[in-house]
Parts: sequence; C-alpha cells; structure tokens
Amino acid sequence: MALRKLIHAPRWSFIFVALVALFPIWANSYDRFLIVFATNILIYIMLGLGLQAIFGSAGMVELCHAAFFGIGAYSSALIGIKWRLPFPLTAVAGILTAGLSGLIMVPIIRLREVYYAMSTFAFGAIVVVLMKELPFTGGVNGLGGIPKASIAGIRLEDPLVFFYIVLILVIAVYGLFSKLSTNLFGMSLNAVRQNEPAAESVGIYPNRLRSLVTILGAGSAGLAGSLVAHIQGFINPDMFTVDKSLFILGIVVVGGLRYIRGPWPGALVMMFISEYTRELKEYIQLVYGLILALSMIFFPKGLWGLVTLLWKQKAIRHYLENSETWKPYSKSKT
Amino acid sequence: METILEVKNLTRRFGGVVAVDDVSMAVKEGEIKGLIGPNGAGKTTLLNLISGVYRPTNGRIYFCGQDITKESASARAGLSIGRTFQQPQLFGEMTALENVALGEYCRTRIGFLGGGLGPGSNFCKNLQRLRTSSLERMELVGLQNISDMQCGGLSYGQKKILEIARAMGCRPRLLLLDEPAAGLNHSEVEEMNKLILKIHSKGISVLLIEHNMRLVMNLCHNLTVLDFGRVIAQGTPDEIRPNKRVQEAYLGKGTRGDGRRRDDAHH
Repeated sequence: MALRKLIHAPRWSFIFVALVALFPIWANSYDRFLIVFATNILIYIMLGLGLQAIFGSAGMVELCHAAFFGIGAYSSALIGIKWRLPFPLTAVAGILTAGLSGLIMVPIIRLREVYYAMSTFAFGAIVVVLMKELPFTGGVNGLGGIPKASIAGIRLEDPLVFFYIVLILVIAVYGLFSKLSTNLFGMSLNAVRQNEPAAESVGIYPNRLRSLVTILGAGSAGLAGSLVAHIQGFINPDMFTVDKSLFILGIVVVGGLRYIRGPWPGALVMMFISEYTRELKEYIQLVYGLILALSMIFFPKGLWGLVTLLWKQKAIRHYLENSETWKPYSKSKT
Repeated sequence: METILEVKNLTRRFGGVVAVDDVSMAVKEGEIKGLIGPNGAGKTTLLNLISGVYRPTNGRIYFCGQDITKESASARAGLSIGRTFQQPQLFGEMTALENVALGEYCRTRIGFLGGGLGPGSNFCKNLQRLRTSSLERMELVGLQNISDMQCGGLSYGQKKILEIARAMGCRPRLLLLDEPAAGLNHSEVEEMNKLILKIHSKGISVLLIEHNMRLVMNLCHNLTVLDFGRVIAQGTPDEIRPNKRVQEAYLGKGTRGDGRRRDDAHH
C-alpha cells in the first residue's frame, strides 16, 4: 500500500527531495558552512511545521513557539550532560518535555484570540526568565559541552551526517502533519477554526482538539530543540526569546498560512534574510516587521499561495475537475 | 407516547436579566413541538440551554430519562440531539458536502489515530462510507446538485437547509430547529414545511422555534408559548389560537381578536 502511494505521489516532490538530499554533495566541495546553514534551515522548517498546525489549522495565534523549542533543547541537553544518555533518548525526552509543557498550556487554550495570544506571549517570556534564573540551566551563558549526537555509540562530528539526520526527521514530521491535516482530524480542526459553535453542534470537542494540536506542535518544536542542542553543542537563553517566536511566526506567514508546505519556502526565505541582515543586529526586527507587513499586503497567502496561484492554478483545476476521488480536506482553488 | 425531552424549572440569568424563567416543558417521542413567543421571549436561550451552549442557572434537563444538565454541547450531539442555528453557522471554507459529512463526526471512529496514522486503505473505506451517507442526506434535503459547491456561495435558504442536513448527521432522536423559515421566501417556506414533515416521518422528534404562524400551526402537534422567559400557555394549536394571554403577548394589551388596537379603530 505504502509503495503504491509513494508511486502516486507527485513527481516534483521527489525531485525536490532529491535536490535537497544531493545539495551537500555540491556544497561539500564549495563551502562546508553551507551545510550547517542548510541544517539550520531544516530545523526551522520543523519549527514552522509545528506552528503551522497550531496557528494555521487550529487558528490559534501562538506566540511562544521558541519557548517549546527552548524547553526541548534545555531538557535534552541537561539529560545528555547529567546522565550521559545517548542522543536518540535525549531527543525523546526533549519531545516529551516540550509536549508536557504544551499540556501545561491547557488552561490557556480555553482563551480566545487576543487573550490567547497575550497569554502565550507571557508564557514565552516566563520560560526565557526561567532559563536565565534557574540554578541548573547555566544562567545567561547557557549550557556548553553538550555531548554531540551519537548513534549506536559512534559520535557524529560531521555536519554532513547531521544534515541527513535532520532531513529525515523533518520529512517524518512533515509526513505526520500533512497526514493529519488531510484526514478527519485536520478537517475537524478546520471546522473548529471556521465556526466553533457549529463544530460543537456536530459533536467535536474544540478544546480537546486544541490541546492535542498544541501538544503535537510543542513536541515537534522539542525535537527541533533537541537537535539544535546536540548539533551545536551549546545553547543559551538568547536563542529562545520571544523574538525567535516571532521569527517562526514569520516563517509560517511568509511561507503561506494553512499551506502545509508553506514552511519550506518560508524558512528558506526568512533564513536567507536573517543571514544577509546579520550586521543590523537589533534593528533586524525592523526588517522582519517590514517583511511580515509586505507579505500580508502583497501576497496574503504567502509564498506557497503565490506558487499555487502562478504555477499550479491550471493543474489543480484540471485535477479537481477530473478526479473521481473525494477530497475531504478542501484544497484552496486559487 | 413516551417523553423524550423534559425540562424542569429551567432558569437562566444573564446578569440582572432573566432570559429563561422557571420553564418546564416536555417533548414527546415522535411529535413536532412548537416553541413560540414574541421577540426576546427567551426561545433561543431555551434552545441553547437544551443543546448545551449555555449552562442553566437553575433547573434540570432530561433526555430519554437521563439527566444531561451537566453534559457539554459536544457530548449532547453524541447523545443524538441535533440542532440548527438562527443564523446559519456553516464551515465557510468547506464545500457543502464536507459540511454535511462533518455532521457525522460524533458517529465516526476514524478520528485521530484510527484513520489518521493507521493503514491507508481502512481510512479510504471509511471516507467512502462517509461520502455515501453524506450524499444520502443531501438527497434527503434536496441539495444533491450543489454538494460540491463552496458553501460561502450558497443562498440563505440553501444554507438553512444545509444546516438541517448536517444536523441529521448525528442520527438525532431530537432535532432542535431555530427559526428554519426565517428569511426564506414563500416557496422556500413550503419546501421547509415538506422537509420537516419528511424528517418527522423518519421518527425524529422536532422542537421547532418559528415566527411563521402558518408553518407552526400546520406542523406542530403541541405548542409552548413563552413571554419574558416564562411559559404563558401550553397546548395544541387549536387551544393556543384563541388564548387571550397569547394574543396579548404578541399584540399588546387591549387588542381585539383581529389584531388591531382598540384606539386604532377610531381613526
């Protein structure tokens, strides 16, 4: 079954994955920094995917994604340093702690719109303070000497290996979220976003769905945090501030809200912009703000919306008109 | 006939306003019960209390003999209480068929883990079944032609009918209809009349809020009249029609049977 599905998957997604997978071979001979950079992009894609589920599908304006990211990174780093557990286990721990912190947010989930956004903003700020002040988190300097990721006792040092590990995990996370967004779970999430009283009237439990999607999004951010910790070998609270949450929000919005593929181009563009505007230091927020505003004005559906508009319009129309199979998850026809 | 829904001493306050005041009523199995009253009488509030959108300040609600006062709105859908809204509440970015399919949410077991991450074939089979039953319901209400339309583009009347099709998805034993004919034109009201009879003939009890008296008097077996949150009359349409208090509530004090004010007659 799985094989047949793979064959039926659109050809260009294979080409895309192949290009991404072959990228390091070119970069290896050109500049090894590029591989590290690309790994970073992949990690931000993972973060964007989690936020896309929470913000895009469930419609919750969540402003603390970097906090989940940080909780995953810190818990996995601390376990790695204290107990010398191997990387895959610490990653699992990172996912679980971040997911649990999503569970802590359950009382907040009952809030709506601005109130929810403000509460998550506060949550993000509190987590950063805790990272700086708790006795075991290393204060402002953060944690160093985190054991590098190792698999089956072999310590991995090569950025190339990290790249492929992260790539596989990103594709796995993407698969999970895209599967969820196209089945009844995603459909009911859409229902909750579009009309909550109606969703309740058909027997959907909105708060349960919101909690679940928050835990999933937080868990995937925890995985990303764990990866960052064990690839870089050091972390500090500045990596997980509210600014970073807004950056991830930018990835989702620029990439295209509600497009499950949106975070891919979104992360790519946002990372390149942040790389080329590094000299601006604190003024960088100005650039992000400007990009968010411009993308909202000129392509409100984001880059992926633009792509579908320009390139796939005909193909999608053709597909919708000729397909016999029923698509429960309404694909945007624009 | 057995009682399917019983409401006992139900009160709901909003701050100082008593929207529903000590209301007791019952819906019998297989009947069409009308709930009428002038604007602001508390009809919709009562319906929201029954469907679980609001919690009562006081009183109890029994469905099939079971106390459901503490159940959430979502749980009540699972207990087979379907409802529609005064203003159509649809999932605006979905097609008509998807709206109707989601009506069956509480009857499907293909939610998060079962269909989501499990074997693909099973999921598709379930979806196929969901599609078939949704199309059946679209046919029941006569909207099969528009099933693939985005529901933002539907007319007001179609939206109201679509809501009924969606509410039928939870296989209701009791259907709560909140002004299904409001805003519809004459022929659409006729269609609605037929549709409600059709639903009733399937053995579903109906609680109908409506201002269109012709429709109410045609359809309902029993009526409850509310005014300022209180029950002012209960009985069959023939008993309600000549009731003085009901006429006063609708038309004001000092009216004749013909509905004109006494002082109007002098001008």
